Amino acid sequence: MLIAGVATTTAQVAVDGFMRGAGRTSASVSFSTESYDEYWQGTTLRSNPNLGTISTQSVGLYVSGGITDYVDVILSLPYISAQPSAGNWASQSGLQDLGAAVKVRPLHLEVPEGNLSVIAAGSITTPVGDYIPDAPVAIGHYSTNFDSRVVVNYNTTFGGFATLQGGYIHRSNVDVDRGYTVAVPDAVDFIGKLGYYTGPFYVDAWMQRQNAQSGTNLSPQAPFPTNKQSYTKIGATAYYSLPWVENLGVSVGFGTVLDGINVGKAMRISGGISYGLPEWGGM
Amino acid sequence: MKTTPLRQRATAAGLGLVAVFGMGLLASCDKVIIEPPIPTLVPTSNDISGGAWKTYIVNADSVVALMTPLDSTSDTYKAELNEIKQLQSALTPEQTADIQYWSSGAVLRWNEISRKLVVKYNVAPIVGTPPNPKVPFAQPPFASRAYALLSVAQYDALVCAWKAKFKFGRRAPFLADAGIKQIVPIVNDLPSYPSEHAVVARASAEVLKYLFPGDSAQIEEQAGKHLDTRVCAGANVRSEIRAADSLGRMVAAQIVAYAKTDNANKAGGNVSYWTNVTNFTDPKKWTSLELPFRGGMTPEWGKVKTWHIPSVEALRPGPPPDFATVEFDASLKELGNMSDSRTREQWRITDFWADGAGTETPPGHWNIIAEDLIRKYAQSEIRAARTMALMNTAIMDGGIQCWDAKYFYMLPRPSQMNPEIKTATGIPNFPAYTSGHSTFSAAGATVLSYIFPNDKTAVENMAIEAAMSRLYGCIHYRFDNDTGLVYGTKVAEFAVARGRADGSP
Repeated sequence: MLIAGVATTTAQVAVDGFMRGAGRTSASVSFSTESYDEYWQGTTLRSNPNLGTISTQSVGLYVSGGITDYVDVILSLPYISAQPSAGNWASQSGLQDLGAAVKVRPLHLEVPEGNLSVIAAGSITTPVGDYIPDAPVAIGHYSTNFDSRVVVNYNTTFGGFATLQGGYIHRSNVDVDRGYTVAVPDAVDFIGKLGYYTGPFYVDAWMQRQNAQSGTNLSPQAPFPTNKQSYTKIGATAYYSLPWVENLGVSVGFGTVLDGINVGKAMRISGGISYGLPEWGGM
Repeated sequence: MKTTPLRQRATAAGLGLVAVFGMGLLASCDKVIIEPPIPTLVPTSNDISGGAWKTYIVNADSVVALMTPLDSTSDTYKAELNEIKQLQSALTPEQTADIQYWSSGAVLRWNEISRKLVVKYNVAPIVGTPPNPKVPFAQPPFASRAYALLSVAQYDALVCAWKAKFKFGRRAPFLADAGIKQIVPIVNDLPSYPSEHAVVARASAEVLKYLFPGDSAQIEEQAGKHLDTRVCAGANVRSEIRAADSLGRMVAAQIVAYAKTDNANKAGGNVSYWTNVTNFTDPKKWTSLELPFRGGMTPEWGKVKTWHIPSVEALRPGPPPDFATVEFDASLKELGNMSDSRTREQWRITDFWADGAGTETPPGHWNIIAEDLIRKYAQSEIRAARTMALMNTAIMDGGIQCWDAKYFYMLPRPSQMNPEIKTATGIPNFPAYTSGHSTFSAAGATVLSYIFPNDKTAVENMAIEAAMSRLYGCIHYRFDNDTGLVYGTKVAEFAVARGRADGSP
């Protein structure tokens, strides 16, 4: 029948190629809306008039801080609400998964025209609410996810940068309401990003490819946590540090699923406010 | 209201798994659903009177009259004993695993296979496609009949087998020859001719091939494996398997002949049926809420031949409350409130009992409950088959009685009366009154309470919870459930009466 958008069903802590710096902390609140009326059942694109358009709204809290120049920690927590536009299925809403990540930069090299960083990141996301893992209009899979990845960032002296990251996401088994324990497929994840920043401005464009390592095809009836969900997404982000309020910035983002297996052909727009907390010097 | 399942449901059934089972009938080691291994079932009794128990369709005397075991002093028999020794001297890990797998119970393993087939075929056909007999839609009434036919075939075949076993008193191979090992525990004093496992395998396979012709090859492969394991296990010589195989085939042929004339194949209705029943413009009558519009499921299921009840008319409940009444209004308001304030626990119960598309269906859920009880009390093969046959014929009769009422009264679903009522489960595509879940569950619980009196409270609470799950899900009025529970019980009492008189102690 349907699946909640890929951006929300599989919780993931966003990790970038920059370190915050010792003692620097920023907190952001983001709002996003995502919708789709077509989805891939296996590789076949189809729609379901009994559900119409599935739309998802989320409010996310994201805090990242530099412990030292080489170690960052990140916390994230989204609240999600999802509803169909047609039919009689009930909507879902609730806190989704709490995420915590640690980023470590073991290597930082001066290279021609810039510098090169190699970052290792590990994160865990785990459900904090009691949302339903296999509802037709779902807000998540309810698995606890262990994500480990390597990020390579090339940062030029004139403000342009390029980031490549690759990781493996292990997902725990999930107990579903009908009394089964089911396996949620692991995935490999690749993200490439190109961006530019100067003064208060920042922009990037990115592409993500996630490949589930196993799993079932979406049945004609409903999604299930065991579904093999793979996708290619592209998107862009822009950020502006407000000149008239110290430490405050705003961001806008866009993302869309180009191709996928057992996922919604979703489009997402988001906006956020970031605030730089007082520096404490780090360790 | 919360009941604890006797054992965590661990069968490989569930939404989204169609693709997995498409690869092979018995993906027993697939990692999608985490299943614990099932130990060997060692029955507490051999039920030595089993050969005299009342059958459903087959005349056991006439079947057994055709059978003669090999002379145990013949060279052929000795060669068969040697075959076992040879096989046992070179067992592969796969063969050992197969022996273990099937030793957890012949009746129960084939019941499990039938549930997996229902899961695989419980997919509504795309609207407008002509019916394909090779791809049946295994919805709840279809499934109730599949389980009933399978269980009756298993039971009738085992009554014949028991009659022959105690007529000929043939000792098991491992008792006849000290060089033969028991690879799995085998009951010593149950005569081995004909093989009880092999009659179940053959009778089950033939009935399932009739019901699911598209999976014939996989079903046959499973049957072949099952037959072989009993020779390798030291339980039977080859001729005991062969005799059981032809016995199972004979019994299944009679069950299939019965099935061909029980009207189920005509229950799907046709265009003229729908034109006569309703034009779908009467707001007081049920109509499909699906897009695109889909005719109601199995409108003529009420005309299917029953096993126990004299007629559906004799057990047709009175009408539901009229729309203008306070009672109907209160029922609809109750659902409006539920829709607005459903708790997570009510959601869980709705999901737990939903058993919708892509699952083993409510009748299948009750087969899982029955399997748990059969294992708990370590019933013999023949008693397990009796339990399943009594329960599944009662459940099938319950479905027939319920479907008659559904299409007789054509009561709209709550969301048709008030579109603001949002559901926690899919709205079934047929009229509301009475509740199928409630009827199936009360029928199942009534038979299981009779067979397992110590668990009466537990299974009755399950039936009540299953009924309530439909109210929590907002797809049934409270009176649908209450009437369904009452009539499911009434129907099953006919089955219990049969059970009391079937000659089993």
